[in-house]
Amino acid sequence: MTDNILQVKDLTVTFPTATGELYAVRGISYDIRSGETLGIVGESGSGKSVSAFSLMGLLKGGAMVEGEALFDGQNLLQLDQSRLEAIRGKEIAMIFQDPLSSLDPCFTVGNHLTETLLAHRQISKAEAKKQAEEMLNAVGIRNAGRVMNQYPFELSGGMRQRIMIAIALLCQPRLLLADEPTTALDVTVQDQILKLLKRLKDQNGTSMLFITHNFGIVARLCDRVIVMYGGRIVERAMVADIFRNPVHPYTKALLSAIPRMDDDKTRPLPVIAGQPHDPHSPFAGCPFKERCPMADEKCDAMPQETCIEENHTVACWRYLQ
Amino acid sequence: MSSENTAVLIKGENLRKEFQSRVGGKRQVTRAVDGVSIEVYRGETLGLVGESGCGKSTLGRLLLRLSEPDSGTITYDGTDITNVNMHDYRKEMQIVFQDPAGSLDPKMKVGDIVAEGLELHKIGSSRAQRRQMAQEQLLQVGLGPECMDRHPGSFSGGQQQRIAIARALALSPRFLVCDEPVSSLDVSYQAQIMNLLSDLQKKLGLTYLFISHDLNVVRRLSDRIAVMYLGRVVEQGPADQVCTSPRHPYTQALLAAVPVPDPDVKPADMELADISASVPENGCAFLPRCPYAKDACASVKPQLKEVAEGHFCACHLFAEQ
Repeated sequence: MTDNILQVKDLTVTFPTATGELYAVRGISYDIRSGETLGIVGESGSGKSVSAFSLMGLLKGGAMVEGEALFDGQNLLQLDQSRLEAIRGKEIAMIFQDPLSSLDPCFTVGNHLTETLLAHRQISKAEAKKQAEEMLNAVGIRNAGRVMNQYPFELSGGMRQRIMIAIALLCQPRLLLADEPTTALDVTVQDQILKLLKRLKDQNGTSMLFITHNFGIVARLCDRVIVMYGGRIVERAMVADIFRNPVHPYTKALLSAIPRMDDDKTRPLPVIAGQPHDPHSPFAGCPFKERCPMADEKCDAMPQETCIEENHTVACWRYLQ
Repeated sequence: MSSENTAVLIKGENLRKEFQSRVGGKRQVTRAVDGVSIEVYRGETLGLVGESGCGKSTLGRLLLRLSEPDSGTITYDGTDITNVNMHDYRKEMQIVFQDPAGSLDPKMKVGDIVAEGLELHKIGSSRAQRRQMAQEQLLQVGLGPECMDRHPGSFSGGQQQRIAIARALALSPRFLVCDEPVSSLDVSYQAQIMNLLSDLQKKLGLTYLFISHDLNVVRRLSDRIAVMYLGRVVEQGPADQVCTSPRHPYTQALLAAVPVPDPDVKPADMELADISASVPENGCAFLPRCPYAKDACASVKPQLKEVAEGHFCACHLFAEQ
């Protein structure tokens, strides 16, 4: 397909640690279609953040990244530092979970914004300042002129995340990687940020990879979703289908473990028994095997993804014909 | 409800707590808890919700006297404990914190962590007996005797929270403050810990103050819910009533902002203004963000009024009723 903005093939990320190799991502492939918002859901340690960080060359700790990530015909994983820097922030931007630690406490908001513009664009400082103020207005910050002269610590969490989004969108990136950008925020502020992202996406047609553990956010914002467990993709589907017809035992269990406003309080919440998959384990089979109520000896090998309906695949032996 | 059921176990009256800080050289006073009166009935769970900074954790700490109130009184089981030596009451009331990793000493063994309170309160005749008691507590929260000699760092987040609960229960308290005990946990652990807390409550007849920002979680565990905004309780009532027919505009906004894991549910239109405007000295603290504000809101602080049986709301919209 030609309308994919990003194609990831067989991505594997391994970290060397004192207790042996840590397999964070165990060979995943996915595409992000032009203009869509793709959600990646999973719990801590499922590899969802690592898979996005690796695309941007942001992993530390001697991470070994293998596979391919094609953006504009270039493999992001093979690019040298200077060419990656030209893309990072300009073509592909990223917003993180914790805006305070992503902003430099010694620089004003204005410094942050103009620095990004001056690094990627041949424009004057005055022009950069003007564009920066316009962008602050676009992300819903009133009195942008005053905020430009403030330091990150003077702003609330929601404001900081708006600043992060403004920085990310300054150069009109074609792809935005968002790693749990609302997890640290209050629910009313999260609501505002989600509405802002949705509006910006609809206006600019920016493609987005949205990493979250919250199925509520997936329902609100995403077009398609990938469910990860133990460094592997276990299910992928259009958002409506994942809620209407979840098939992987993990997806089912995860969806039913969420407390909802309308559930019966007198009955205990269904739980996923057992412990999450050990990322140090070299086990090559289905990572959910130890916790799966339907597991058998077949699950010692990793099943291929099977298509069960249009745009809906699952990696589980029970559905492999 | 029988009279025994409704008897108050712990009560705070007119509690106030201010914190002073310096921002950019200017002295600032934060009224964390601004005249709150609250009662927790024997055997019930009172849920306390609100956004970060609303004073919900401070209120929990004031009730336990982990933090001293500037004014107001605390009554436990009919006795005024505002100025007493808390040593004798510590056995009665305990707390479980949000971050289990941060609240467990990484250098201590799990068995010693759970037994430490027993030793301080001279419960049990020997170290061996205290170890035996600690082991029983761990078993009660689902951890086997093999955990006794391990360090907390080798456990997952969900298991660490179980250890923290075992430690809190070791002294057989009657009142437990749970301060966001599941907020840092993944969905699958969250469900396990919520079920554990409600099982323990039934088995041991515990009384909980359950503090959380997540309304879905609070609704599930609570009999009654109190909603805080900037240091004051703005609404309080039976859990289901507060969630299905919220009266205060702030509660309505909180509920509307929770993303629902169902793509057919469209996000509510209700959106709060930013917290940029200053809060009126004598009026309603929610005024700058309230979509329904009227004249009285700027000049008179609304008091809690009963709007339905056992359902209270502090809002001028209900003044005439």
